[in-house]
Amino acid sequence: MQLSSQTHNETQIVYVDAVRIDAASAIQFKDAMRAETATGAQHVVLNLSGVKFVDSSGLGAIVATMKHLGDARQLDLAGLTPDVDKVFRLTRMDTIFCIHKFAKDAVRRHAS
Amino acid sequence: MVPRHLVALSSRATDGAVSKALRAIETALIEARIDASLTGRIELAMAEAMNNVVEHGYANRPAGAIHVQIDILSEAIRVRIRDMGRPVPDHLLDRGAALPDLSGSFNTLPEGGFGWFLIHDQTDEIRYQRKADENHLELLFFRDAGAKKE
Repeated sequence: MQLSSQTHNETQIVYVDAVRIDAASAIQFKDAMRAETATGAQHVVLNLSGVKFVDSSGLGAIVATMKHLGDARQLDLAGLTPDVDKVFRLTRMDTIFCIHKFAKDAVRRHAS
Repeated sequence: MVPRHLVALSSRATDGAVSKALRAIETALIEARIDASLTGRIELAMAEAMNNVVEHGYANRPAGAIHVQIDILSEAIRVRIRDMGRPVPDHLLDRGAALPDLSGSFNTLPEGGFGWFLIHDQTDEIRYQRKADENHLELLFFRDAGAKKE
């Protein structure tokens, strides 16, 4: 699972360079996110604009990532494509995560 | 209208093989000009159903096979999934499969248990039969229901 990061002020934006986060890639995604966020950034934004499909295993892996970051660090989501947005809404996980339309919005809001 | 075969394939019951099969199915649906929202519903419901076969149906058994057939009917897309794994527990087949509880603390948020809830939500009809040690699951997606479902 290919991830890349950019850091703006206190915010680390992690871009997922994969079309699917599914049962076949959920564990790789979790491991890659642990390594990518080992920097200790307090505010992590997962940029999912390149991801077209997430199943319940992928959703579980994103929840696991949030738990791994712990109470003191925040994980937001950004750039949800239609089928990915649908999964978050149907499972009510959209009430758990702060979801931004664009990753850059998350930086601005967090800074203010 | 005579049913039109869109897809007939067999996949090994592993996460990787199912993911590959689903990508082929998505391509076939797009090439058949099924609209994006309906394609999204079919792909999500099939992913959850096939992942369940891998994780539960064939759990602690050698990975068997999953056979998939998709037909375009005049009013619906019909998906048939057949496997030789364990039977599907009855309570999961009831409409209104519960959404896992999100109300607890941060550390108790569920990381699974959404599969059947999503299958029910995304399909218009579900039929299931256990025949001769095989599971026969049929998912129907009405073609004019696209506006109602997301």
